Amino acid sequence: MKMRTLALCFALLTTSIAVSCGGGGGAGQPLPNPSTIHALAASSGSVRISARAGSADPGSAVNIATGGSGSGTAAADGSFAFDAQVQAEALTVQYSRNGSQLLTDVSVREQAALLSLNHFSTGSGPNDLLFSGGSLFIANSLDNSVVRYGLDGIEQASVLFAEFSSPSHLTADRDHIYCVSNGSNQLTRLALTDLSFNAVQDVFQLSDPAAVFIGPAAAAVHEDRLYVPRSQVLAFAEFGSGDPTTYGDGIFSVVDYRSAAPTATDIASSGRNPQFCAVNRTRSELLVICGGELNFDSSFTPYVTTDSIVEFYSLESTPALLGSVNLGAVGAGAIAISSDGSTAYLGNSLNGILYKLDLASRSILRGADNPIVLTAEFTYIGDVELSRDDSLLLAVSFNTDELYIIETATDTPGTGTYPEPIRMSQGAGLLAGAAAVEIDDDGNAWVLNGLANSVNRIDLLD
Amino acid sequence: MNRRILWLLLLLLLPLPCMAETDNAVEIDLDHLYEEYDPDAEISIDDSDSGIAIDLGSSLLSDQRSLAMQLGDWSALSIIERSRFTAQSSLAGLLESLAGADVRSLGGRGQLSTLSLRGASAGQVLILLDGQPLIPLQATDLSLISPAGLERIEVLRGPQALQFGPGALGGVVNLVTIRPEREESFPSYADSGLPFREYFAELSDYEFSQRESSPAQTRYAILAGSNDSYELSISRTEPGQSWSYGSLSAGNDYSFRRSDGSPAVRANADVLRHELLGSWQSGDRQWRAGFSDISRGIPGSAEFPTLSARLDRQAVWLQSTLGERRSALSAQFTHVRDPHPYLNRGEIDSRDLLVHVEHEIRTEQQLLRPRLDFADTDSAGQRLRPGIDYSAWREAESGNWKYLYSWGAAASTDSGLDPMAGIALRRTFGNSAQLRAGLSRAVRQPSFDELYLSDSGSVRGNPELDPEVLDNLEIGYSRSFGRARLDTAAFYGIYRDSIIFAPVSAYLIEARNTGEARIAGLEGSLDWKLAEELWWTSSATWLPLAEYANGIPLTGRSAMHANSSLQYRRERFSGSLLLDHTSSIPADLFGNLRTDPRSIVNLELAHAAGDSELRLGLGNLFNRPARDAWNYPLPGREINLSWSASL
Repeated sequence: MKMRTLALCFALLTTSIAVSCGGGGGAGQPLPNPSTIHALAASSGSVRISARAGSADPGSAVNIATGGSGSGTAAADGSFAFDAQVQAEALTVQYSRNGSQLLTDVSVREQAALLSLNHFSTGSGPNDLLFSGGSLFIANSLDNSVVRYGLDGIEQASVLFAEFSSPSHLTADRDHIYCVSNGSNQLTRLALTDLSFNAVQDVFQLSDPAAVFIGPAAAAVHEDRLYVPRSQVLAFAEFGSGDPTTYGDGIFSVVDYRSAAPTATDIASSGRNPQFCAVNRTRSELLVICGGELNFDSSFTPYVTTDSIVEFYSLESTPALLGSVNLGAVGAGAIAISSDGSTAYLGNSLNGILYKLDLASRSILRGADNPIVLTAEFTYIGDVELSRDDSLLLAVSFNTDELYIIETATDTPGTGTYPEPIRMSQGAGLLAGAAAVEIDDDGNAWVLNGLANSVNRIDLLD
Repeated sequence: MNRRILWLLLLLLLPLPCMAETDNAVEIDLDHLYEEYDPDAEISIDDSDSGIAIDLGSSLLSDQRSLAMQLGDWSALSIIERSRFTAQSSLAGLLESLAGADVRSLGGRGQLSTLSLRGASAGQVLILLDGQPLIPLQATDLSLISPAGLERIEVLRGPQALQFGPGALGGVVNLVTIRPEREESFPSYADSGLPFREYFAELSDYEFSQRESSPAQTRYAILAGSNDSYELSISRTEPGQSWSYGSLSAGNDYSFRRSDGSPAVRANADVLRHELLGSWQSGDRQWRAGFSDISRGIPGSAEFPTLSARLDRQAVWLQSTLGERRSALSAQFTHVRDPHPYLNRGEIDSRDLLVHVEHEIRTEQQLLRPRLDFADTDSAGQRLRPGIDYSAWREAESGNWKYLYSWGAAASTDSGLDPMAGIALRRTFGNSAQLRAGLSRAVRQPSFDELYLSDSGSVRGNPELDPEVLDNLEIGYSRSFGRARLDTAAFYGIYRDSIIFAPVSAYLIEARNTGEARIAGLEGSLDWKLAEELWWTSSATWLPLAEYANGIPLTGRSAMHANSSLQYRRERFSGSLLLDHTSSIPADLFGNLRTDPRSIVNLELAHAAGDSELRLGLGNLFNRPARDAWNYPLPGREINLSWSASL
């Protein structure tokens, strides 16, 4: 409490000094002001001038005073974003706040400079990235390893799995990392508290003789229960034939680690091909995303033949179905839930589209008829992630090697601080395969390149 | 296993003719040749006392007058003579000892091995068998045949390789089979490692055979080694014909250690191969024919050691040469099957037939080669590609410098017309040194698979591909110092539109032209006769630059490859100690995965008695763990015992 009081006094003091020196209230010379305003140069050459909510008076004009030309209008929340033509490396932005005309000098940064390309190399065929306990964990599906890295990219420890295990998905609670291996159908629990990361606590084997590919996928954990979605492929079509794959009924397994020997309960889902589980901790619900039966035509273009259904379950050892949302045959995939548990964003496994759900009413906010379109190019959204304050939604597009950063206030790509998607591509026409994204405690984003076997770091702006 | 043993027993029991004749050897004094020797002139020996008339230019060396030999003065030419082959040699192992060469292997005797020259990929190196494609329109598998049936191996690197037509970007390898009526084994200048004068000093002491005697000779070699490997070869030369047979059976199920040190056993890498090469004379026409049948498992990488795919491949070669005209047919049939592919994604069973027919007319200054390629494959359908290659070259002289101008074009129905051109110059300094430089533009037209592959898992060809183009520069210098010879070259190449199979989506890998890539490097070889019994040969290739314009390294290229051997020969005993070092290899498309550098030491000890030789080979003597590109484990310590004899 004392600190807050002190800070308030300091703020009042600095404001009074500014007013006395410059004569605020819109009269006379505008005052310099240290507000955080960003100027990010896009590849097209235009520069996006932006500031977050509360930076300017709602509806007021914002101009480039020196160094370029361009103007915009502050939004109702006091944020602004507009494109300017800038001739210099620095410019001055003029805007009003609390009725005072203010000036802020801003250095222009290339948006591409936020990217630290190939910050570090991974193992072979990395499939999932997880930030936990101040470290980055990566599941390498081809060399069958899970590796722990420091944020400096230095490998700290690793665990090698049996051949063909194909560790593919990671999730964590406070004490453990859980690794789902879709080659061996095993769930491996590793002690997070042991920094050497070499203690495999237990391995749980999923089995189903009816399925040629059980396909355990993106699991979620809550209070020592692991929720594991399963593809349940009964028979693969011949590669390149264009024939459909045969799926069984959707299943997710609840593996209970509270007893000495973990036990599993299989729950049938109403949708086909569940691929993602997520826990809404605020609302104490489990979400199971059934993407629908995924197939490939003879040109290896994916399509789905059944609906994407998001199911809501209670968080119990035997979850009870609370409700569901049918998005249609759209191929919904990766999910990110807001910290207040009110909304969720879903990626798409067929194209560059996002959907948005209202989790309280279990209804669609942005569905198939009004999706959030990131790109019209042929791709799929490998992962979605929300920033700690829910203000930014990050989505990685695999086939186009792009990271989209969208302000959730507008849900409109390309209109906020970041003028364009950040290219993860390494050039030379080679696809890096942006597969997963995480945000660390410092607010920086990490993107896993599944084909380039590397991790990129993106310094997000304050 | 039973099948392999049966094959070997059957072959060992074959009644083999023993028709050896006594050589009628004579001594020839070549002293008079020293003083006025001109390396560009043909040499005649007329020894009236012995009754032998040998024209070194047109007779003894006539076999060796391939296009590669003609261009040797203008570019980097390496020749490995049969005298260097041992019963333990593999084609890949022999080529790996050359400057500029780097071999990639899945590991194990007879397993897939490919050759990179001066940083060019395997698909950018042309490999020929007596001038015709060893495998048409594909990167060549060096394990398809053994050296047993070869007379020598010619490797030409650098800009002048364009004269072989399209496809020889990094260089060309010509495998020359044993010829009938072959003269007594005789070290060529290129292979001697000696200055010109020293070379002829050696010749003067050499025993030549009278041509009329043309001794028939049959040579046997048997090898048994660790990793369950057995090899048999029989070669025979006699007047008017020669042939060779080779058989290889290898289990290759050696153990290795995974990245955490845990032991693992390699599987599905076994090989069974039979090969037959023959050559015979019919009037003025010379015929050559060959057949190879190889069956092997397709092993996985270190972390995927138990894949189940298998490959069966049969290849045939037939050619007829009459004067300046040569007609040739190369065909291969490949059957790949995988009953249990990863994740049970449907059985793989594909059959591919590739046929290449060419008719070559080669004169002293030009080459014309109409060709026809035909493919009938499960993966790319039926395709026909008529085409024609033309190249011409002229020599000129100005002062102390000699010049070679080359130009030509390759044309085919589905790749269009691609011009090529080059210029080279050289200057000799006495008889001991030569300086040369070359510049060229060469092309490689896309293969059928690269264009049309359509039904092979999630890998697809691309009919929109452009040909690969290489602008190639070389500066070379050779010099003899006493009993040592040094060959060096600096090279720089700009590759445009290189073709690779790369992921284009999460589900599809497609052939595509990539951005501009640059390769620059140095290569050198040193042959040094340290003493009468002691030779040192070494080669090294340094590639400080092998990357795309944006800095991404080219996959599979090592920055440094060095190969050095010390050979001791005295009476019946000989031994050689070989060190091969390869630096880290970028193992994925972006160079983020890299293999560890590897250094392997091999030791061979041999004891000869008469015409037979017993040889002990110790591969990877210190049992160093080694991986090749894409993380394939290479064998640990190997022990091979071989016996060879001439009857």
